[in-house]
Amino acid sequence: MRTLICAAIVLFALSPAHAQDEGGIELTVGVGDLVLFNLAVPDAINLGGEADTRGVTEALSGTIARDLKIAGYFNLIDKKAFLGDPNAEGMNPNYVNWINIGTQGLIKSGYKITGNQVLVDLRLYSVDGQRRIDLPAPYDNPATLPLDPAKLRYHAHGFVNEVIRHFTKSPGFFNTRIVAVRPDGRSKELIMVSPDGLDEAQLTSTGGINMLPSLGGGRIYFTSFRNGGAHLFVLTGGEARPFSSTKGLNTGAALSPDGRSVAVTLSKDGQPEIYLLDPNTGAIQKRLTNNWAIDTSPSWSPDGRRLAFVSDRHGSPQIWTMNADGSDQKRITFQGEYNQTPDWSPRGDKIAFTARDERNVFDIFTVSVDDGSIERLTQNQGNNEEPTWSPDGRYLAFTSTRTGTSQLWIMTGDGRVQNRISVGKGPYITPFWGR
Amino acid sequence: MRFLTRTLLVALAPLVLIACGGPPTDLLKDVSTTLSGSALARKCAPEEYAAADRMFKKAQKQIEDGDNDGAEVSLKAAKQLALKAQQKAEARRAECEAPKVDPDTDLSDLTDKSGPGLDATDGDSGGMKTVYFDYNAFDLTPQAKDTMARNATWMRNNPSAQVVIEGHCDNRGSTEYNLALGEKRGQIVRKYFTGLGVDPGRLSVVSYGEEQPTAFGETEADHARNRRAEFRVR
Repeated sequence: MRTLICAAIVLFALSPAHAQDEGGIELTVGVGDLVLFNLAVPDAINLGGEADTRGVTEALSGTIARDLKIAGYFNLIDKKAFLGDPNAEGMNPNYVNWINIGTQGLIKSGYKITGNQVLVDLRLYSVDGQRRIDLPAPYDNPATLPLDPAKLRYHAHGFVNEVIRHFTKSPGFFNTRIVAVRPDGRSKELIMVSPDGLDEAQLTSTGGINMLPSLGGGRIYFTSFRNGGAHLFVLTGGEARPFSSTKGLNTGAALSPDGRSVAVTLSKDGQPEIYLLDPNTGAIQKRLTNNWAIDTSPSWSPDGRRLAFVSDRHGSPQIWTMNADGSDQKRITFQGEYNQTPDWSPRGDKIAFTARDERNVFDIFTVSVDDGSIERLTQNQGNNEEPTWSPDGRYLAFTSTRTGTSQLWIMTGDGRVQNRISVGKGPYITPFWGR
Repeated sequence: MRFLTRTLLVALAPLVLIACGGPPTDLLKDVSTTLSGSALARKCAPEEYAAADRMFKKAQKQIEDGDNDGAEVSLKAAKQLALKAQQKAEARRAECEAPKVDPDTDLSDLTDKSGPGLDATDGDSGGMKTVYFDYNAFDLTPQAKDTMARNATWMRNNPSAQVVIEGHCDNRGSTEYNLALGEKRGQIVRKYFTGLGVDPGRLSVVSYGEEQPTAFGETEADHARNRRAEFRVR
């Protein structure tokens, strides 16, 4: 058994996360060589206040269970398998009941509603260690929160981030934001959504075409046709103001990691080329590409030294990289005839992109920056497009048509766990995960 | 010895194939080509096309199962069905290719509400004809050049007209790349006009990428109608 545990730990160390709790949380080997922690998440318990008529249970234990499923490192035990009445035992587990269903971890949540406030208690237990795991504030003690499902979800997301940090040494991504576009008839409006697919907010309502949003540094750059052709705008403090309106195209917008430049596509000199603009004034700092072909869709390396982009200068759209001053331009994808939408991983080692394969189906791949090796992350599941890395580089959000209309999905960086997150009817397109 | 065996096997292989009636590869290729050249049939005579396609798949299965004689019969039938589908589609072409508005679509959805500049129906095309492009291409086909020659004549006959060239794409590929491709298409058209003696000062370019399709389906014919440069007289 010890050998199996060691083997599992080694495998997990190779995957983006690795085990921290030597105190006895065992690991099991799941589908393929994917390591999954067994976790039980019983419904939140009413600790004696008023009845829950506002969805408190769903906002707490519902959110936690959904987040853990999206996170991909956990196997959630079916509630039907629970022994005894998890409600009756209160916040302190009867460990025998939990050991007997084979769970390694247990998450208990409790609430006490008083008027428009609610006391919330969220706890992580090691079942085989038979002890409560200490998590940092504000999860070390019960917290008093407003009786508002959105605020409760925010608190629950933060708790899940700490649970993930406990198991993998790096916190989860919940409470970040994804911006995307929702087409409706002939209009396209920007939306922002939590990575669990809830708390969707519509950011524009011009009835026209708003597209290609990017979120960073507390602002959203986007492209809009509201003044004629494709011009860039910046949305900050609830107001969209013009950012770049040169003649021809002004599209995309990738804020550099140091916040000093925005890489965009302009066609003011006749061809779509990549430029760096001042992030506040939109003034041109530098032109980076210069040839007859299409150059577009820039994405920064995390150290800000290089950019990935799309160029069709060799006859078909391919992924290229270059230095941030435009020097050393080189092609890095050589398979396929149609490679687009590069997004450089915040970990630096890979660039995710969309490729059209020989069957005219779009799928998501990564290319290694070092050796150009290609990994396929999606296959035989409709069209999968527009990958965007999570801020920690462990996950990708993307669009998929596998359930019909284009929806937002999140997968682990190796593609092994994929979950739909968007809950609206869609379609949703061009997601960008805020960094 | 091994060499001899191999030589014998290689030499005998064609005989074996002939003796057993090998798979009808020429016929297979022929029917496959006919089917893939039947985009119109797929759209305008879908049932007939599906029947031909089913028969073709049956033949492929028979070849896999070693029933080459059966496959030959099926392939001949598939060819007949494909030709029939093409005839039927040709007869229905006018009705089938006419632009359709989905009865569920609220017409106000097709009316632009976003203010100045976006509205592609603002003004008219004068006597200018839409120019079409090949997939992922921005160079002008011979047919497009013919259209451009006629458009240039109109521009010369209407010397005061100011024209916006609108570049469009089909919906395959990324939003941003298609904006760039639409821009390239518009720029190429503008440059070609200049070569035909039209003052470039009268021509401006706006790319709409894949944002304003005229055909809303996913067939090759729909995509072809969307890869275009349109003209709007200001």
